Amino acid sequence: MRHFYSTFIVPLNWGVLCYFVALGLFYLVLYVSAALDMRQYLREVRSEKYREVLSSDIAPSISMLVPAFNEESSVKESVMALLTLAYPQLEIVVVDDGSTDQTLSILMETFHLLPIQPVYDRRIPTKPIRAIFRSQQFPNLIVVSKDQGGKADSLNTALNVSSSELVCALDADTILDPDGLRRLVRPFIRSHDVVAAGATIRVVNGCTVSRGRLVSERGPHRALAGIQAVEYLRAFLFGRPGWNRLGGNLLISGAFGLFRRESLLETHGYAKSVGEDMELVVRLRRHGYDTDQPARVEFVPDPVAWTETPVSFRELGRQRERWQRGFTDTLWRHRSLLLNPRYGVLGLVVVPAFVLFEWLAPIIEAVGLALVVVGLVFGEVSATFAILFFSLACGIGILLSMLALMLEELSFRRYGRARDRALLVVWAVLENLGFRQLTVWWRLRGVFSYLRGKKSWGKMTRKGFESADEEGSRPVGSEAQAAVGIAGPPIAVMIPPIRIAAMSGSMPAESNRES
Amino acid sequence: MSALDLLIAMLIAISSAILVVLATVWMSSLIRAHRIRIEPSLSKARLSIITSLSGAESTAGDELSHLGWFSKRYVIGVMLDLAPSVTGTSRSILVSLGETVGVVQKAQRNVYSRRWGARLYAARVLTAFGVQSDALCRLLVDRAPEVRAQASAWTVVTPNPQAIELLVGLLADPDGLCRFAARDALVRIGLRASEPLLRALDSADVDVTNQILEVAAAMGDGRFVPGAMVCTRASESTTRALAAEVLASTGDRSAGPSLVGLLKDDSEEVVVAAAAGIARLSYWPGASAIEPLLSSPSWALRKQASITLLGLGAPGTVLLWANTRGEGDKPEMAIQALHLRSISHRSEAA
Repeated sequence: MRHFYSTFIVPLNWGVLCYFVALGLFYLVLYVSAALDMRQYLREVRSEKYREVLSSDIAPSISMLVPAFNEESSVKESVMALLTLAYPQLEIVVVDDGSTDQTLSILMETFHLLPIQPVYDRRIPTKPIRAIFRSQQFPNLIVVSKDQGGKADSLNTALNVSSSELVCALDADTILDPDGLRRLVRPFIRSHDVVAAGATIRVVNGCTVSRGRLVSERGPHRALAGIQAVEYLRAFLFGRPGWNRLGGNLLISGAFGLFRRESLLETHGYAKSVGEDMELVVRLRRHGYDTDQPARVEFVPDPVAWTETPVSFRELGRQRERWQRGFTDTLWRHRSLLLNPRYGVLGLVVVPAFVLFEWLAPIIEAVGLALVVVGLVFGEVSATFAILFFSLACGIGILLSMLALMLEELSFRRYGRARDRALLVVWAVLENLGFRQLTVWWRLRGVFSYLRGKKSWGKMTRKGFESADEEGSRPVGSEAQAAVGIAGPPIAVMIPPIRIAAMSGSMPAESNRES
Repeated sequence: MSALDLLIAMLIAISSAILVVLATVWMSSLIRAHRIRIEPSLSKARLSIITSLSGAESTAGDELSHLGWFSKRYVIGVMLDLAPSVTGTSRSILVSLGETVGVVQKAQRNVYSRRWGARLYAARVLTAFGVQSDALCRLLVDRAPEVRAQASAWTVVTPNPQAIELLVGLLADPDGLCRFAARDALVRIGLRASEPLLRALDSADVDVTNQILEVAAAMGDGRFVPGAMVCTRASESTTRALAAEVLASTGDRSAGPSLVGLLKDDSEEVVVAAAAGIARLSYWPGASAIEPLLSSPSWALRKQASITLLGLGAPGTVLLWANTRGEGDKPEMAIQALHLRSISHRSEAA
C-alpha cells in the first residue's frame, strides 16, 4: 500500500499543489488587471455628470427587454421604476410569457394599455403572440402577451418587437440604479466593435426598497445573504474588470446587460439553455471571429443592478448547481474554441482559463480533499501539516475577499454604514469556514447532473421586493454564474455531509418551460 | 527548509497581507467617517451659496466663511454640484466666487498638467463654470481622448471659430468617444457650426463625410442641401442614405424629386432612407413612386413603403387601399399599415 501511495498519490499531491500555486498567480494577475482597470475608469468618470448623453439627440436608443412570468407581486413596481430611468431614447418592452396569474391584467389596468398592431420583422422564430399593447400614459411602454415559451423565447419575442439600436436584458424583479443605462452605454459610444456590456450585480437583501426603487443601501445582516454579498463583490469588482484587460469577458449577467440588437439578431438571439446568458456572450464573441468582425464584450463596474439572493441552503444549492450546469453546458457547446488559434485570445487565453480555473476548480478541490484524507490514513500527512495547509488555503480565500472589499472601499463605497462594512469583513472570514466547501459540493453536483442530462431550471419561488425581507427566498436564476469569475483557491478539507435534496420534478414554472 | 517551514512562512505572509488590507480598509473608513461628520457643515455652506446665487442679500464673505473650513477638494465638489444648474447672473456670481476661492485658477493651471487625469478634471471644472480660456484649443488636440472629448463639451459652452474648426477636425478622431462628443457638440452649437462643416464636406473622406451628414441631419440647416445633393451620387451607400436624411431634415420640398430619384438606387439602405425622407417632407407626388415598393421582396422596403404611404395622408391611404387585394406580400403589408391607422384613430378617440 505504501508503494501505491508513493507511486500514485504523491505525484497527484504535487499536481494539486502546482494547480494551487497556478491559481494563486492567476488571481494575482487578475487582481492587478482589475485594479488598473478600475483606476483608469474612476479617473475617466470622476465628476462626470453624464448630462451630455442624457440630453443628446445622437445618443443610441435603448430597448429594455423585460420577460415576466407570474410576476403579479412585483411587476407594477418594476415597470414603474423602469419608466423613471434616466435615458433620452428609451423603449420598454415587457413580455408576459403566458402568465397564469394577474400579471397581464395588472399591467393593463395600471398603465392603461391599448392594443396595437405594429409592423415588425419576426426574425427569430418564437411562440405565437396573442396581443401587443401600448400604454396610453407612457408611449414608450410596450407590453407583449404571448404563449408560454420560457425566458429565452420571451427575450427573443421582445428582441423582434423592439426597435432600438441597443437592447438591455433585464429580469422583471431587478432594480437598476437610475443612471445605470447612461453609464453602461459608454463602451458602445466609444467603439463600434463592442457588442455587449455588462454591469455590476449587488445583493439587495438588507436594503430598503420602495416603489421599485432602492431607498437605502445596506449590507445583509444574515450570514448566508452576507456571504453571497461578499462573493458578488469579489466577482464583480475584481473578476470581471480584471478580464477587461486580459482578453475580454465571457459572461454578462442576464439580470442586467446591454447588447447591440443587430448582433443579437445575427446570432439568432437567446438560446434555450440553463445558462443562456453565458452561452449568448460566448456565441457573440465566437460569431465575431467567424465573420471577421471584431466583437468585444466590456464590463463597466459602476452601473449597478440589485437582485435578491437565496436565503436558504436548499435554494442556494439549487442555484449553484444550476449555474455549474449552465457553465458546463456552454463550455461543451463551444468546446471547439478551446486552444483554437483561429479564435485568438478567446480560444488561447479566455476559454482555457475558464476551464482550468473555474470549471476544474471544484473537481481539483474535491481531489485535494480526498488526498488529505488518504494521506492522514496512511500516516504520510501529519495532522499539523493538514491543519496548517487548511489555514493557508482559508487565508488565501480570506485575502482575496479582503482585496475585493478594499477595492469597494477605495472606489464606489456603496455600503455607507460602518456596521455594514464590518459585517462584510466577518462574512468574508466565515465564507471560508464551511460555505466554500459547500459550494464545491454543489458545483460538483452540477457537473454530475449535467452529465446525467438534466436540463430543467428547478423551483422558482418569487416574492415582491416590498414584502421580501432577508427571510424572503427566491433562487435568482438569471444572473447565472454571477459568482463565476472568482471561485477562490482549492481547499482540501472535508466537505460537510449535507444531503442536498434532489431537484423536485414537481417544480412547475421554469422546469416545465424548458422541457 | 522543510515543507512545514514553507507552509508556516506562507501563512505568516498571507496573514500580514490580510492585516495590511484590513488597515487600508480601516483608514479609508476613517476618511469616510470624517466626510460624514462634516456633511452638515457642508450642507450649510451649500445652502448659503444657493441663497447667494438666487440673488438674496448675501456677500461673498459669508459663503467664504463657510467654505473656509473645508479643504479645496470639498469646495470644488460643492461648486461643481451647483454649476450646471445655474445660468446668467447666478453663474457669474458662482464664477466670481470660484475665482475668489481659487478653484478656477487652479483648474486653469491644471490644464497644463502632465497627468491626463488632472487635465481632464480641470477641463470638467472649466466646463461647469463656463470659463473662457485659450487653453480650450490646446485641450481639443490633447493626446488623451478623454480630455479631447471633455474639451468638446467645453466648446459648447464657450464656442469660438477656431475651436469649432478643431471640433470639426475631431470628427476624424480615432477614438469613438471623441467622435461622439464632437458630433454632439456640433449639433448643440447649431448654425454657428454650419460654415466650417460645409467647408469640411468638400474635402472630407468617406467616414468624416458620413459624420458631417449625420450632424447636418440633426441640424436641419438648408445650407446643406447643395452638398447633400452632391453626396446622393457618392459611391458609398451609407453616404447616399445619410444625404437623403439631410435632404429630408431641411423640410425643403424642392428636395422631393431628388428623393424620388433615390428610390431607384441599388442599395436597400438608400431606398429606405429616401422613402422615409419623402414621408418626412410630406411630398405626396412621390406616392406613386413609392407604391411599387409594396411588392418588393425585401421586408424592410415593404415596411418603409407602407409607413411612408400612411404618412402621405389621403393620396397614400388611397394607394394602400388599392393594394389590399391581390397576391403575395403586398396586401398583407398594406392591411397592416391600414390597421395602424385605424388603431391610431381609436387611440385618439379614446
